[in-house]
Order: sequence, then C-alpha cells, then structure tokens
Amino acid sequence: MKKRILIGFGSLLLIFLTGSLIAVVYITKTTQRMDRLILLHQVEILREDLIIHVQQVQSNIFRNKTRSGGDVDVLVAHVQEMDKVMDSCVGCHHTPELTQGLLGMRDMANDYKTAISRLVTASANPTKIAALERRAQDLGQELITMTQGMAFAANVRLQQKTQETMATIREVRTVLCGTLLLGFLLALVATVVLAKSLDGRLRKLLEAIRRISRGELQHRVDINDSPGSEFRELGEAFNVMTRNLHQSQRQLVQSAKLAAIGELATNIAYEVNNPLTGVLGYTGLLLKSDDIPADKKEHLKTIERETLRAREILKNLLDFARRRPPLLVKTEVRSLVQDTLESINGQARPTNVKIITECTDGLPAVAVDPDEMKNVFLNLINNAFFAMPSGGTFRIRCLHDRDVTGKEVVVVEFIDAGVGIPESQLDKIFDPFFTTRLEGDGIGLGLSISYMIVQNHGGRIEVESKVGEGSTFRVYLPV
Amino acid sequence: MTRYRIIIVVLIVLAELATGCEKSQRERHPEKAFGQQELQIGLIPEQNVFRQRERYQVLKKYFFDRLGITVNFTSLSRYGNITEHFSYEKMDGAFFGSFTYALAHRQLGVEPLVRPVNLDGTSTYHGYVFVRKDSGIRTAADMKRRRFAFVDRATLAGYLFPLAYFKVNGISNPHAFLGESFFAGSHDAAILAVLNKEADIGAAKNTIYDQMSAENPRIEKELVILAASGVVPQNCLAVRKDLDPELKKALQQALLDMDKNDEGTEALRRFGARGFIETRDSDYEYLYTLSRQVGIDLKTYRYENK
Repeated sequence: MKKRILIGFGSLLLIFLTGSLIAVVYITKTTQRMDRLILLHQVEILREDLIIHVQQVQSNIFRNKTRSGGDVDVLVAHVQEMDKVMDSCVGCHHTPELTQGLLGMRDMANDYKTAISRLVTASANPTKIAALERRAQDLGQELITMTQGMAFAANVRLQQKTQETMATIREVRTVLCGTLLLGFLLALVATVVLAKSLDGRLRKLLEAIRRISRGELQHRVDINDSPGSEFRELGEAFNVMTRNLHQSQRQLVQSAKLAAIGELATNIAYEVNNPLTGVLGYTGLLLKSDDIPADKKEHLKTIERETLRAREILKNLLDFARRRPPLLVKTEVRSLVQDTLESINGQARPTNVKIITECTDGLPAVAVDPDEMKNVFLNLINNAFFAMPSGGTFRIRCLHDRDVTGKEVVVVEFIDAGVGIPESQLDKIFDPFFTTRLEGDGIGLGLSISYMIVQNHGGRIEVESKVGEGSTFRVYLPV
Repeated sequence: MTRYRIIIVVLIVLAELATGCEKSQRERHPEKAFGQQELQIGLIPEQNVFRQRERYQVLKKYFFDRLGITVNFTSLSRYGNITEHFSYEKMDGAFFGSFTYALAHRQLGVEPLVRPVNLDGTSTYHGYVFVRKDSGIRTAADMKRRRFAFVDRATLAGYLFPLAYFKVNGISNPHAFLGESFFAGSHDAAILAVLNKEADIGAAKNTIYDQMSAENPRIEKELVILAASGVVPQNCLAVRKDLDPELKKALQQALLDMDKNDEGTEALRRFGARGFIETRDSDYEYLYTLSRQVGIDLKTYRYENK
C-alpha cells in the first residue's frame, strides 16, 4: 500500500511537474518573443531618435548663417548625440543585410560629418560656403531618407513579429489551459483510484472489528494484497490478534467450566460415595449369605460390579477435582515424548498408523511433573489413534518458540490425519464428560484432565481441526 | 566599559582618516583664490571639428583634476572677424592660429602661454605656394593673369605668406597682377581648388598639404610646391591680458607639467600630443616681419571673412 500511495503521489507530482515544465517552456518562449518585440520597438525608438537628431543638425546648418561660435557648439553637440544613437544602432546584433545597411548608414553619417566639418572650418568665399552648406544638407537629407527607409522595413518586420508573437501567445494559452485541465483530470483519477483502494480495505477491517465486537471471534479478515503489502500485514496481524483472543476466551471459559464442574463433582462424589459404600457392604453381606439361591447371587454380583464401577467413576471425579500441585522437575521434552511412546508399545494400536517424531536435541528443558505430563501426552496420543481408525501418519513435533507475550515456550504438536473435529464441537472437547466414543469406551474426562494439568503447569493446549483432514493439538509449556 | 573605549577610539581613527582624505583632496584640487573658477576658452574649428571637441574634453578633465577649475571649450568662428568674436563672446583665452594670435595680441593684448608639441615632435608650421604641374608656372612672373586660390584674410600660410612672396618677387599689387583670385575658405579647399583646376596657384599650410598629399596621390602627381615660408608656432594657447596672473601661471604650469605626471601622460596620449612647450610673443617674429613686408598693420588690420 505504501508503494501504491508513493506511486499515487509520485504520479501526481509527475503530472504537476510535467505541467509546470511545459508552462515554463512556453512562458520562456513567449517572453523571449516579447523581449524581441520590445527590442524591436526600442530599435524603432532609436531610429526615430536618429531621425530627430539628424533633423536637428539639419536645422542647425540652416540656422548657421551667422556662424557664431555658439551655433557651432550646438551643432557639434547635436552631431555628437546623433553619433551616439548611430553607435547604439550599429552596436546591436542584426541580420547581415541589416548590418550592411547600418554600416552604409554609418558611412553616410561620416560623410555628413566631414561635410559639416568642412562647412564650419570654411572662413571665406560665400559661394564655396553655400556649396558646402548645400552638400551637408543634401547628405543630411539623404541620411534621413535612408533612416526612414530602414524604419519602414523595420516597421514591416515589427508587424510581422507582432503577429507571430500574438500567435505564440494564443498557442501558449491553449497549451497551458490544456495542460492545466489534463493535469487536473489525471490528478482526479489518481486520487479517486487511490482513495477507492484505501477505502475498500479500511471497510473490510472496519466490518471485521464490528463482527469481533459482536462476539464473532471466529471471523477472519481476508485481504488479498500482494505479499509484503502493509494492508495484508495489517490483516494478518488482525487475524492473529483475533485468533489469540478467541483462544484466550476459550481458555477462560474452559477454566470456569472446569472449576464449576469440579466443585459440583466433588460434592456429588462425597454425597454419592456414602450410599454406594452402604450398597457395597450390604451386597457383600448378601453374597456371603447361604440362604440366597445361586441364580440370585449372580444378580447380586452384577449389583456389586456396577457399584464398584460407579465408585471408580467417583474416584476419577475426585481425582479430577482435587488436583494436587505438580512436582516440577527440569525435563527434556524429547525424553518425555520417547518415554510416553515406549509406554504405549505394549498397547493395542492401529497397525497401519505410522508415527513420526520430530523432536531434536537442543530444545530448552521445561519444568514439568513428568508423570502428569506423560499422562497428558498419552491421552493425546490415544485420542489420535482413536481418530485414525483407518490408519495414516501421526506426527509428534517439538518446537522452540515464543508466545504472543514474547515468553519462551516449547511447543509439542500432535498432528493426526484422522477424521477431524467438527467446528461446532471444538469449543466442547475440553469439557468434562464430553465424548464422542461409545458408552463404556471412556467417560470424557481425558482431555479435561489434560487441560487442567497443562494449565497447572502455566501452559495451555490449543487445537486446530478440519473435518476429514485431521487435528493438531499443541501443548505450550513455558521454559 | 572597555567596549565603549574601543568604539570611541575607532571613531577617532575614522574621523582622522576622513580628515586626511579631505586634506589630500584639497591638495589635489588646490582651491586657491583664483580670480575665477571657470574659464571660457575658444577653439578655432579644425578639419575634424568633432574629433577636436573630444580631444579638448580630455584637457577639460585634466584642468579640473589638477587645478580644480572648470574650463569650458567653445567654438571661436573664423567667419567674420575673430578678434571681435573673442571680445564679444567674453573669452578668457583661445587656442589661436599664428595669424589670429598676432591679431589678437596686437589688438586685444592677449598673452601666449603654451603650445602643444605634435606626436611627430613638431610644434610649428609653414606655408606653401604651389601650382599645377601642367600650368607651366615656375616663377612668380609666370603667375600673371592666372587664377590664385587664397585661404582667407586671416591666415599666414593662406594669405600673408603669398602676399610676401609676391612682394619679394617684385609684385606689389598681386590682385591687379593676377587674372583672378579668390578665398577658398579653408586650406584643404584651396588645395582642392588647384587640384580640380578651379585655380592655377594656391597657398596653404604645410600640415594640411602633407596630410592631404598622403591621402591623395594626385596631389604629388599633379601639384608642385614653388615656395615655402619660415616657421611659426602652431595652435598656441593665449589668454586675455587681465586674467588673474596666478591663474595664468597655474594654467601654463599645469600644461607644461603634463608629461611629468601619470594623469598628464595619459591625458596627453588621449589628446594626441607629446607635451606642451612655453610660447612667447617673440616666437612670432617671422610673422611680424612678413606683415611689415606686405604692409599690414596688425594693430589696425580689419577684415571681414565672408
């Protein structure tokens, strides 16, 4: 998701950057054209200035009849002004033809200046002076005509340049508006796509939270993003959290159930045991009596046997209820598993069950009551055998792991390929007297007792199962 | 406390430095109590009047930097009567030609100070009398009833020297002797008039003749010089006699010292001269001799260029 957000913002940035770049390029192009246009206008002003100065010089020559020193000064000043303008005209960069024209104009201006110099240095001979005056004036007029001609050419060019610039401005306006609109649309699309993808995932999470809060702890959120995406990680973490919550809730409920049932069982056992002792005593007496026919004694023996069975059940119940504290010894889990497996060697078991043990050395030792823990393992193994009437592979794995709180644990997994446990029964399998076996085949205390034992060790038992695939019981033992 | 002391010391040092600057500034522009701080100096237009104006702007800056006085250069037209213009336009001085100086000296009492030394080392000029080679004129006698192009009435090379040439050759009334004579108005005009066959004989100063000869090979090919005058100072700065003597002295010294200081050397380079040399009225003795020869009394000589 981070990648998507980055890509989203990256594309937005790219769109605006491209837009800005296009804008800058076009604005630069326009300003350059405008600059050229302004320059042309300035050149035009220079030309007009030049004409004005030449006209002033002409007027000075015409007025110069008295030829006093002051008039010469004014004339010189005006020629110098004219020269300055001429220099700035020639100094500018132009096309070769224009430069040629300007150089021609410069030569003419120099001729004009020479003629003026001749005129002001002539001191006698009115005819000659008049001729010099005419010559100077003619040259001046020629210079004006030439400048005007160039000004006319420049005006045509100015008009052409103005039209070109106007066309560029129109083009720039269209391009800029288009870029702006396209940028806006692309940004809109990118935003909508981004928001939608965020929104869908957030909705899924929100819905899951609502369902969990309603007590549907088995609900899982499903986010199918590519591996490594933040939303996928969030969904997985959410699912782990929910699963742990579900487990904890189950354990709490289980503990409460066991406590209540234990108390009830103890009371019942006490209360029922006394009458049973009476029944057994009197049955024994009756059996010893000689005046009871043999066929009746058979009935009495059945009464005695069943009463004894009832007392055995009560004893089991009391054992379950009166859990003594475990005698903890540092034990290797691997040897526990091996001892348990050896103890079942003599027992009848499905011949086609293959047992694979994956418990290596190097696992940390755990503090357990070995007898109790072996009972737990035995119970779980027997249950597995029971669930695998048609055989298959039964695995026992030992792992070193950490629980959700970060504490070190050793996990012993019992993985069968049996019939599996329906989802509806998963919450009940640790309940006392819950059994799926036939009557007389068990009273349904095995898992309850195992659960209690492991809980007394500070550990827990978890189960995962799928009907038709098998079940996995995990025993978590703190290191 | 220490910080305040430091600030005070720094301020004192800065004040000292400022005063020092002011002092050196004053040394640079000695604001002496000259009779006046502004001068009007006339320039007789040269062949390139615009270049001439640029050159003299260099001197204007030099005078201001050196003496702290403002010198305004203004044109002094030769058209009409130059001494009248000088008085009428209230000039304090002018860069005169030799004849115009002599007139102004005799009539107004102007005093010569200095004159520039050209880049080729010359500071004087002389006059030529020349003819077309194909005119057949080789002596003054050959000039009878021929056309003569003078420059104007107030030139040594263009008028005074040719008159003296005729006088020496025994012709006392040249205007009657010649077939036709006119004033070309300028030295180059007189040369061109002969070159273009508008006149057979002409007179002009050597500087213009040599310059034009270098630019136009026809001159050497088609003209021949028959006579050359003695030398006279060229382009001398002369000031009115009643100018503050101290200012007069300062002006003269500033120009004489030009080639002895850096700013002056730079100014000279831009002005186009090697330096300035002192000029006395006695340097014009040749001119005075000629005027006496031809009978022109400079003190009373009245002319009107037209």
